Amino acid sequence: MSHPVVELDKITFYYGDRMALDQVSLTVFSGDFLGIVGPNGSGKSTLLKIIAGLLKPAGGSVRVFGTEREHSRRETRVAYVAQNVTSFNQGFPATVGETVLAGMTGALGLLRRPGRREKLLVAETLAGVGLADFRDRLVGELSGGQQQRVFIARALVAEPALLLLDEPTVGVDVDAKERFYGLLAALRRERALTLLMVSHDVGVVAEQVQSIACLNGKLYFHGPPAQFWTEDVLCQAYGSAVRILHHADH
Amino acid sequence: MTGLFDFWDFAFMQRAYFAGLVVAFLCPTIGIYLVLRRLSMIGEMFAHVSLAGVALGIFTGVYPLATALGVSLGAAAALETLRRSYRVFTDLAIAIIISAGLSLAVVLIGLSRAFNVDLHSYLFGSVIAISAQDLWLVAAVGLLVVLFALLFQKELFFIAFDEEAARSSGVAVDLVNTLFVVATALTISVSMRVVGILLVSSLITLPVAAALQVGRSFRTTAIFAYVFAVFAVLCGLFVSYHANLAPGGSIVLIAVVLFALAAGYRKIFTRGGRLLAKNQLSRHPEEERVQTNIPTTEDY
Repeated sequence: MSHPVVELDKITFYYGDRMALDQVSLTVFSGDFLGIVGPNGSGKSTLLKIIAGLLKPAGGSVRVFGTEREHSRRETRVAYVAQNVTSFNQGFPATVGETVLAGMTGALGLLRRPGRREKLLVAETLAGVGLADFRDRLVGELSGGQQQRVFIARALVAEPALLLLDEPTVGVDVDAKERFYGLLAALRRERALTLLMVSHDVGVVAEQVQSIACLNGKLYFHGPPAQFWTEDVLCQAYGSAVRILHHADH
Repeated sequence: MTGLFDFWDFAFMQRAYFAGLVVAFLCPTIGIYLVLRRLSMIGEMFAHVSLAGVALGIFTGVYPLATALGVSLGAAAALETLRRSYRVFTDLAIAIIISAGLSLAVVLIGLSRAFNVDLHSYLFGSVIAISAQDLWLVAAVGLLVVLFALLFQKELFFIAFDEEAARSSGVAVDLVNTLFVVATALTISVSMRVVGILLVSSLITLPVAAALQVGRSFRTTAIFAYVFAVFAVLCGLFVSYHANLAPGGSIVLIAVVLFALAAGYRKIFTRGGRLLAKNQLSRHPEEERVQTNIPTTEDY
């Protein structure tokens, strides 16, 4: 049985005076793989950060796993991988193992130290993303694609039920991109994982995801990829601002 | 008979060494997170604010270390207020508080009409000035801060590395950050008794900066930072006693030398060994840029 994991109801968000999100309502069910697409500045990342609990909307309600986001700030079933996650301080003296172990912090809670079980989980997760031999290497010394997988592993190690990815394939080469989508597919097979992925790469996303949300301030479309192409929403969302919005049924 | 180590017969030297050891553990404990979060200037801020606290203590006749602690905690609260309620950039908030602290100190020193010996010992550190009372306070605060760092180690590490990811995965970031600022204020207030106000932030940053040159993980970097700090303090106090110098200067000079040695070691090691091995291992062009990005003291 699939149940709603994310429920957004009339979300509004402002950056200063500029409205970034306008009455966005969206429900994501468990096991779904949703791609959020839209032009630059369309509020994709903002929406993801609101779901992650990093930003507070000006209006509307956000429910994650059935709980209002405000009351679930310590929600540890959600993992968020930021845009440009690999643009961290490359000189940070952390090994791959130390980095991934940090992902357990929230799930362990205050005052509990990671033990053997956590170290085992780290080893398993690293093996899962194909980095088993890199545990003792410094993260800053890995390639961009490898670093990307380290941060995915850090997000996965606490065994989240909802994974939020913001532009995960920006800045990695084509090979790494392919490996990355292969990894996501494998993860979805192995775990009960709901995936939300923000991307500007509409073509690639449509091939990978189960459903698409098209955003440009407002939500223009939410439905299966096949319908996305036929409904001509692309030119509406990306086209001139005066076009009247059109809600596709989902 | 006079030997190199007969200073140990003096109670004040024993106190200086004990307090120095505590400080040598405290400074890198806090410093490693300050440096990695690019917040080294907070050390400078608390040092300047502590000067105002000391001046206030001398002016009012209250125990100066206690007033320094109090004023530092006030500054910690002011920093958080400026950042959160008034949305001032952290570096600007720090600059504002440094100015406030320093100007208050100058006025208070003027009012007490004396740039006396006592103030001098707080500015540059002093071996003979550490009283039994100072020692107790240093030890108590030291215990508290080290305990905090141990209990919150995984949170402090995660927040330093990626505050956003930590927050989104349910880490109590605001709580840990607040406690961390308080721990920093405490550390600097007691450390200045040994190294002096003018140099206390150096002991926070230099051993960590040196350790970053040679550490191959967070763990080893932290261990190196402790080793460097303890070495600098022990040798610095030794030199300071025999050459009759202010301990702050000798301790920090030794820390500077340690940093230079570590940086030199890394340069040779990187040129000769690591980079070569890395190039054979992988063909990823991204890997090359990494070598130049390790923070140096100029970044702080």
